Amino acid sequence: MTGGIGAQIRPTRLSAMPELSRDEVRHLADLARIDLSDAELEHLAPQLNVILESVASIQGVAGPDVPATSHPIPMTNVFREDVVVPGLTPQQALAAAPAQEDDKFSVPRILGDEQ
Amino acid sequence: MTETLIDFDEVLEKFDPAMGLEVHVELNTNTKMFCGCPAVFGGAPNTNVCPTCLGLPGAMPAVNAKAVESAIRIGLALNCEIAEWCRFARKNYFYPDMPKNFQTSQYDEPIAFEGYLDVEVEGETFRIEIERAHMEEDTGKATHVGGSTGRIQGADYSLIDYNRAGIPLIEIVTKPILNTGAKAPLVAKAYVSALRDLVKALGVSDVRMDQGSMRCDVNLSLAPKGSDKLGTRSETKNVNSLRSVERAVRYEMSRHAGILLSGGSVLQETRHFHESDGTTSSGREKSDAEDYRYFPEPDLVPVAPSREWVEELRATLPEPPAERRVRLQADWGFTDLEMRDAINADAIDLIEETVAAGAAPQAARKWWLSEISRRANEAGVDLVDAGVSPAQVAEVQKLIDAGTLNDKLARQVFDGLFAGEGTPAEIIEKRGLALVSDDGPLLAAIEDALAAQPDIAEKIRGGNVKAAGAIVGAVMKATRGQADAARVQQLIVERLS
Amino acid sequence: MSWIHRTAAEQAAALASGEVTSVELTQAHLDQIAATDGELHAFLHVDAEGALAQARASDERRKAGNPLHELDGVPIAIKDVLTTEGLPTTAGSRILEGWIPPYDGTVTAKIKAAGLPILGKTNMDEFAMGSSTENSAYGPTRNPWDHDRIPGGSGGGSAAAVGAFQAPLAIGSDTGGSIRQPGAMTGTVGVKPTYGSVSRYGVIALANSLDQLGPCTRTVLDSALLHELIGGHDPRDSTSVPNAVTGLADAARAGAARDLNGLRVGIVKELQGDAWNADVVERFDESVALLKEMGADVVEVSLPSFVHAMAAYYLILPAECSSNLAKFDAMRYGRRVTPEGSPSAEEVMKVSRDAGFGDEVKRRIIIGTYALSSGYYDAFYGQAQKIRTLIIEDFKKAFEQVDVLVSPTAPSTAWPIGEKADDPLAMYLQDLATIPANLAGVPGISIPSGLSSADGLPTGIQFLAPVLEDARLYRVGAALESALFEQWGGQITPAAYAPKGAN
Repeated sequence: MTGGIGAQIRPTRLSAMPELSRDEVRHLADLARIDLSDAELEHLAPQLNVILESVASIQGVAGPDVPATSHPIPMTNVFREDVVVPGLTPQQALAAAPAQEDDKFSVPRILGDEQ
Repeated sequence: MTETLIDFDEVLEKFDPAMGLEVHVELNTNTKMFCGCPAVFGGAPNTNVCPTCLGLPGAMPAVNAKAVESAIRIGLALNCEIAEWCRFARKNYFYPDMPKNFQTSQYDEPIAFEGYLDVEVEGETFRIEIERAHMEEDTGKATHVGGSTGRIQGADYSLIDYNRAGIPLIEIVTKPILNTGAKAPLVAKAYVSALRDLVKALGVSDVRMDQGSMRCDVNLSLAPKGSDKLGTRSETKNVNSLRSVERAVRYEMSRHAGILLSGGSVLQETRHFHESDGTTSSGREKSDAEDYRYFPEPDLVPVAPSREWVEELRATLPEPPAERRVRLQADWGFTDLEMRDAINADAIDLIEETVAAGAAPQAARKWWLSEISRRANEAGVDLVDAGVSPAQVAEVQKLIDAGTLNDKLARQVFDGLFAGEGTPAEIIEKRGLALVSDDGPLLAAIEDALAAQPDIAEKIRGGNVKAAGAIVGAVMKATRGQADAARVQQLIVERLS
Repeated sequence: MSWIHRTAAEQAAALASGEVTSVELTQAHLDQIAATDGELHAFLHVDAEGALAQARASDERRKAGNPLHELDGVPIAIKDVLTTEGLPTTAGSRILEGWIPPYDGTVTAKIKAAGLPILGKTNMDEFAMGSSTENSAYGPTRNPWDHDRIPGGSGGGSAAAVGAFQAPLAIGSDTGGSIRQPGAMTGTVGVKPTYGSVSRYGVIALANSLDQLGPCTRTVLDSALLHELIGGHDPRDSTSVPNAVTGLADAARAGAARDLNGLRVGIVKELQGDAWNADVVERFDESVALLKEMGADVVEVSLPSFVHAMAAYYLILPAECSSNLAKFDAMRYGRRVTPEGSPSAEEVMKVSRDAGFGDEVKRRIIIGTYALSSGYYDAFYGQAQKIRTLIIEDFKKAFEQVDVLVSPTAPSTAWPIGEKADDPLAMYLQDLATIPANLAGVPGISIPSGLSSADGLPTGIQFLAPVLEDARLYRVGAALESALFEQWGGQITPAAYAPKGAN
């Protein structure tokens, strides 16, 4: 047999494939809170497009009649009784904190409003 | 920034308001939504935390059965459908008070949906349609250090306590509330009030708006009168009292109208409400493009409440507050006005308990709505926190009915109760407040008064019974109010006839 | 033969008979680590003191006649993806440098409760993203067979440690092949259990719906023993299946009798072709011939949706990991990088995450962020979840025809370090055969199938079984292993690490 999966995974240009511009990559990085430098953008953006092209092959493969699977082993109603179990001490909780004060986590000034 | 505010009546001439209310109810479960930490907020910082609610690497959530049960009961009480199958989803956004930088919530599969709650405003009933009620978790609590105001803006840094992180929340979202016109602010208030009563009756939350266990976000938009297209909305966050709900709606209506009438367009944003002056100020710009990248929580499996379970829970629902009020009004024989006053004063439960403790309904109403309300207002606390229990009120009333106290003395007993001097009986004892029931001392006082005012004695003898009032007054004064005035009157008449 | 060259089962038997103490065993492995790990770099953290203390406690239990478990006293290594209270846990990432968890993952707790001394934490691709262990922020692990080559990944550390006799047992994690593929690259055995049959509590999640912990060992029986120890229901993992998978060691022992009569084996049609190197296929075909000799009924079966498995995987995984890794923001733990001036929390998060994450992590976070965005969700993440359904259906149909499926574990043998470092797609192709099992939740095992005629490096063969039928893997795996060992005269061992006196 020739071809096989390996051959199919390699990108074959799809006309419908969205190409991520550098600005779009920067926007996604902002959403993900990663401060990409220009050099990183230069480096990563083409790689991202190669990956996206290869995964875009699945578009339209499964129709509306195919249900989505979010868990490989279907289960429902897994609950915990409403009973207190011991947790961490404040010392344990704060042990790895980059900064702390008065048994609270100290974080730099927050710009945005809470949601 | 100064806002151009339009007079409320003028707003109504030109615009129709549309509201959407999002209410978060903190459940009173023993443990948090997804871990076994106590669902208690307010203790020493970071004492009720574990790897899960701190979002430590590797930790996983596990759903609190009781929280699901409470969510279903709230849904049923709001006449909702209960999902046959629904999932938790992750709402992804970064914020330091959120340990995982996503909130585990529900997205397009809420546990309860399509319900309603009827509320009454000035004799008119409004059906508030419920879009959904879903389960989610609360965030931690940040305090802002430095800067002038202690607010987030201008702070040097912030300190975070995660005790609140993961406490179960039920978010109840209405469909757009239309056609309320001038009553919009009152309808909003009435809805939140009715919702609070309903949740309280279910026993699943403290629903204390002042303590944050019930929080309301008010969405408001204006459309030109007669237009069926909704305007751009603002979302006023954390409006934390019934009065504030009403004020926030009123203020936003005036503010939106000011913008629209000057040719501007309303910014889709969140707003902060300020209790001090009833205004709102700009918060975070919110666009439809805001992207929370929801997807099903892969660490949890779907919730599929069986219909048997749902029916079992339906059977546990308490009497709906509206029906209960009709029943109580009939039982108590209150007029509509009396009932409305009692409702507005948040005194229904208190009166009910007082009556249950043996007092007549009218007497219970009288004490709670006059003497005790006055004192609660002076102290700036809710009636329930005024410092007197229904049992004590019933006991005082019992003493009045037995002739041991009159109203005037009873007020002094309340003084003692508010001052924490003990039980009514102890206060009467300590303060020497009981009515003089022995005729001997009364007759002696009457003799003294008649001797001091012979002309009055003459008038009474001459058949002017009204003149006896002056002698009664003198006797009351001599006994420092501890005489039964009716008995004194009777003794005077007997003495002089 | 020295103690370290014996299997875990043999070491356990020697402990039980009093032939050796746990302290001796543990010290022997620590010595091997000290002698070889400067070059190999299989470990990120070695806990000699802790392991010896546990070994002493184990010996005391033995002496008192109260061992906690069959494997009590046999040392083990744990992939750095699983939390260990008091021992650093970094998941191979700079952003977690120095983090010491305040709690044990469930599998850690089970290992401690069974009395196995924990030697240390093994190297891995950062957050388990990779197929070569080159993405570790702390430097690559080398392949015991050739120090210039990769040991596979992401669990190259665990596989190399076992392959180089630094540990008889190791814990790995398999999201798309991270236990099985390093097994193939290092000539060791690796098992990905049925999804949900081993607790994920304490596993630093890569892709929650795909991740599964499993054993890394040198023999099938050792994997079975470790698998039985770590498996079972855990209320702290809501995706945990209710009943433990059992009978694994029994299946391995039974399999060693090499009777596969009645076993139906399906060769996956879609896992053949140009992508598979001829030297790998050569060894694969020989193994299949051995299966037939032992009585197995071998047929070819088609699982047509496999062609979409990799694309679905590289959407689901980045989507889940983009969300999982959001917690690494330098606010509560982890390395905080504070830029000049008076930066905001938002800026500190961005700078810390940029400094703390490597390229592959950034790539996957960005792809995942994209795949979950509202405009693309249906086209990407939603579609990938549907592919998952199709793949599950393919497995169901295939397992109506056969008892187990078989394929080469990986398309090639170990490649030189650096060769694919900047070609993510080439790296992704390594997981072609292993990914479908993770998407469907089915169990899989990789065992050595021999050495390549082209480069002398190990090749691997993979078996897949239906959900919860992990025992089948041990039966067929042990049978083939036994037949191969007979051909080879024992395990295949890298020359540099072979027992003295062996060939």
